[in-house]
Amino acid sequence: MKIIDFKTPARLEDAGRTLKELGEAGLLLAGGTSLVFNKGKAGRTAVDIRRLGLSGIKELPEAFLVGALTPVAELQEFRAKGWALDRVARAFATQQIRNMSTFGGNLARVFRWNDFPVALLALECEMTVRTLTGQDRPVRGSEFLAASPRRFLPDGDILTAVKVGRLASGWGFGYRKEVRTHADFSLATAAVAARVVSGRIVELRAAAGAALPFPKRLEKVESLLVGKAVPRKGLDEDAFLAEAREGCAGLPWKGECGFSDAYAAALAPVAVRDAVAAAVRDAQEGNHG
Amino acid sequence: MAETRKISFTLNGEKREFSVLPDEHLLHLLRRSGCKGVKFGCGEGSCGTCTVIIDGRAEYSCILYAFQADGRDVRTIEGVGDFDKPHPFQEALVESSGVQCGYCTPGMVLSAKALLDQDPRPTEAKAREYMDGVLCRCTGYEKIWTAFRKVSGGGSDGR
Repeated sequence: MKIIDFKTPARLEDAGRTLKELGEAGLLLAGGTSLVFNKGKAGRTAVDIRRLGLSGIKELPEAFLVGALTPVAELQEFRAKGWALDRVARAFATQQIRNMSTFGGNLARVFRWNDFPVALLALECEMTVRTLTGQDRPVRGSEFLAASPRRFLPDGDILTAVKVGRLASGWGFGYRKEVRTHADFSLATAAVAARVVSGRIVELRAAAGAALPFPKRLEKVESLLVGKAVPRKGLDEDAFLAEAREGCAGLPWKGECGFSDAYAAALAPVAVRDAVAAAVRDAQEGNHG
Repeated sequence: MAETRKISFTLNGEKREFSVLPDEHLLHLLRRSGCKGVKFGCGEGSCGTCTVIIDGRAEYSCILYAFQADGRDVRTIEGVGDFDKPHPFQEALVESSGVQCGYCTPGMVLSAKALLDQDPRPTEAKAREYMDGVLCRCTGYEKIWTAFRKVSGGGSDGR
């Protein structure tokens, strides 16, 4: 990425206006950690919004309101009943990157290996976009994350906050990332939120990503697992493997880093299986609500 | 040709002004400003030899544009300790033969300092989480962990 100039607007409105004026020559800069992967040779003017606030986590009755510029490290360190993103943050790159990267940056600049979109599909979320005219526009998370976020972020519009679902009593969360090395990008990611009542899965939201062009809810896995009995003791992960394989079949899995598509298709159900087991255990332990 | 711009930040306790090019990374600014303890390794935010502490947090200076440091507090290994008064972790590294080739040592020390300043007695699990951003190419992690345990009270998870 060739940066030819930088601007540090004092207000969000100024940032939006500057980005609109610059058009393709402008670049919204938050943490900036993803720019190393952008090999574009065209010079861009960075519009650095890191000092505009938009950072912090606020507890709401049924959700958490997370500022788009909240560093991933803050998600990692935050603790509250029903909060699950600390587990996602801990598996995110390295501590240095967690200190630098922002939550919004990971959502707005979607690479297929990005971590938070998958988790947010399982937890459910709603984005807030500040438009160029100063309005706060809500966007359903499932729509925002289904394809390129650019659709909802025309030049000058800025993602400012995300409302993240809070796990209620009886719910559990599981998150798995298949990586070659500890801090590597994910080859396949799965996140699951499950509600267990009287030894049975009664609700389940499963999502996968990294090995798909965009993260996706796994409706078939969900329908196969809702109603399934889960023993309180001696839970066997492989109890979920058949459903994970059947539910993941036929999706357009893509291998990266030299791995074949067939390998990705075999790896994804393993991540899903592990995430389901982790979510069920989390629910059985009564960690939320 | 991009023009240089003025920025200022506190470097190792001293407020300083710098002329920077828009696409100059902090690593290069620090090295040309005399902080040669900031090492170039991967140049893509993976290996951690370029680690510095910014506003109390360990960050990679090789992928941070210099202008992003404007107004902040930056600490390099030159601002942590010296031969006469080393940081306790520096001392422990020497005592534990944990320095090895030395290339990752500034990053290791700064990662440890950032954690210990925040939590002087972290659990082993937390320490492994917060120290995961620097690679030792000698692969001698055990000696580094021995040194870390000396200064962190053993890293017991049962505290």
